[in-house]
Amino acid sequence: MRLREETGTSADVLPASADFAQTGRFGEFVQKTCDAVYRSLSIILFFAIWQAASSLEFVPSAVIPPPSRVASAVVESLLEGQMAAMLWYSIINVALGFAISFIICIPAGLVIGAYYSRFEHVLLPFLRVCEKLNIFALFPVFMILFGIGRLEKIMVVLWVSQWPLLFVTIDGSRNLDRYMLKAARSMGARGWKMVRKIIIPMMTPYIFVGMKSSVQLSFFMIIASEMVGANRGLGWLYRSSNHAYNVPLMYGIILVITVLAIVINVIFTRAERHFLAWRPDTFGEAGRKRA
Amino acid sequence: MSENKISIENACKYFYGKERRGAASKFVAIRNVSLDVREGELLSIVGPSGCGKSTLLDLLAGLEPLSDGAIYIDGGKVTGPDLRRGIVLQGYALFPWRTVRENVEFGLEIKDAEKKEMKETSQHFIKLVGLEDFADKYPHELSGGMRQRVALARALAYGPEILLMDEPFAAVDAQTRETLQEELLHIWEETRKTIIFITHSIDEAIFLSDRVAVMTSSPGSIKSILSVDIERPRNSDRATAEFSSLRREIWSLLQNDAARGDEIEQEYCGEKAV
Repeated sequence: MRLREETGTSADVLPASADFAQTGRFGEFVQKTCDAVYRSLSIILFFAIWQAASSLEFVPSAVIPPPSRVASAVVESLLEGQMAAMLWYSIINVALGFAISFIICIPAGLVIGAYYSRFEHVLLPFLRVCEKLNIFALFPVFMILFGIGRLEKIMVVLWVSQWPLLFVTIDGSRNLDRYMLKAARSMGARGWKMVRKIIIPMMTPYIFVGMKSSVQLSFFMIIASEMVGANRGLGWLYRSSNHAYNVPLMYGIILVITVLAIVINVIFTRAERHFLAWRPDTFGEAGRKRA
Repeated sequence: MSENKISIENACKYFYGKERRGAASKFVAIRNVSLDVREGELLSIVGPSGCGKSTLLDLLAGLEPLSDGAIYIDGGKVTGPDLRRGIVLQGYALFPWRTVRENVEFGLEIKDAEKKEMKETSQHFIKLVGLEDFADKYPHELSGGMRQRVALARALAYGPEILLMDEPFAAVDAQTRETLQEELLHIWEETRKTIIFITHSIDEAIFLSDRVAVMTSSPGSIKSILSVDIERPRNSDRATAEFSSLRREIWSLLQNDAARGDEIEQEYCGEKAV
């Protein structure tokens, strides 16, 4: 990765910085702002129409309050500290559940993939059935087993996030390039060195796919489970603002959740660009230049 | 005759299919192959697809255990892969997440060589194959010929005494192929490695080699070994009388066998996947 950055500076960034010198810092800024506005035009329009429709009472503002009120409700909740605390609570639970699931699933997937023929008929049908269990139906079971609270939420995340990770890792582990393994072996790579220097890099694209869907699913499900039964968390806050008829805050939380999903997506895309820069098909030329 | 670097004695390799109701299928990939290779020699093995050439190379590399017989290198029995043999595989098998330099340094990295030594060695071999300007590129940014050069540099970098090459130039266009052949000869002359070169191109075998071993399939065995007594440096137009007569001779040796080749290959691949 270090070397990749070096090539990046020499080959890719130089033309851009030459361009930069020509237009100047301010020109660059204006250009970027215009680009950003142009690309978010549909979103800006959406909010504008919403604002207009609601404040002019085309739609009853008690049911759909204007975005200005939604925004102030979010700010208010943030200032009170409640929003941030709940957001943080949910994020931490997802992070913990996901981390545990990652630690379990990656090695397990590697092993199952490596001895696939042995596990194919014994273990996989069972795992497939488990995967198909409806998580909403499982929420009460988890609550009974672990009690409503942090442990239960972490277990929910662990449960839902393990499947994409596990199956994708099995898939990657079964599809390891035989020739590359052979080449590595001929150069004396064995054991842990083989895993670290060959198998893990070879698996990274698969693992990324699994991680991405795992984390997205985790957030989805933790908010659902917090809405079903919890006394903290973003889902709970949503539920309680609903009960308190705090309609602006309800919409605000929907927006916060959406922003959260976007942020997660951006983080993963960035990470992917960084770790998978060697892949020709990840983002194409433009992707590598931007990375 | 100088000392034998490699000697293969009655090498056999069988593959066993999945057992179905007690009946295991056995496929003989190689039967009773014996071959001696001299120090510093460039020996080619030609044969139809599926005749067990690649299997023989795997055995030589120590990547697969023999079913019977033995292979000796400098008198020592081959039991597993080691760094005295460098292998260049069909289809490059470069590591796509590593730059050219990192690919070339792989063997040294496994040996836990020092950073400085690694850098110097990789620099030397990248230069030898003419890729100085591409050292920090990733394999997908290179052409087929360049990738092949990287694979060669990677195999040379950790200083093997023997180079095993499995149809290394099969995937590049004809012109690049000829350039690579000449470069290989140049590198061979410079380093005096013992090279075993597997190919299905008769011309390539004659142009490169001191001797050509002709393999036939079903089961894979060596039919004949011919000396190529054409003086080096050899004429790259490959149209001399000696060249033609050798080509005809090898061709006729392979002729009887070629018809069965495809069928065998399918069977072989099936077995190997098990």
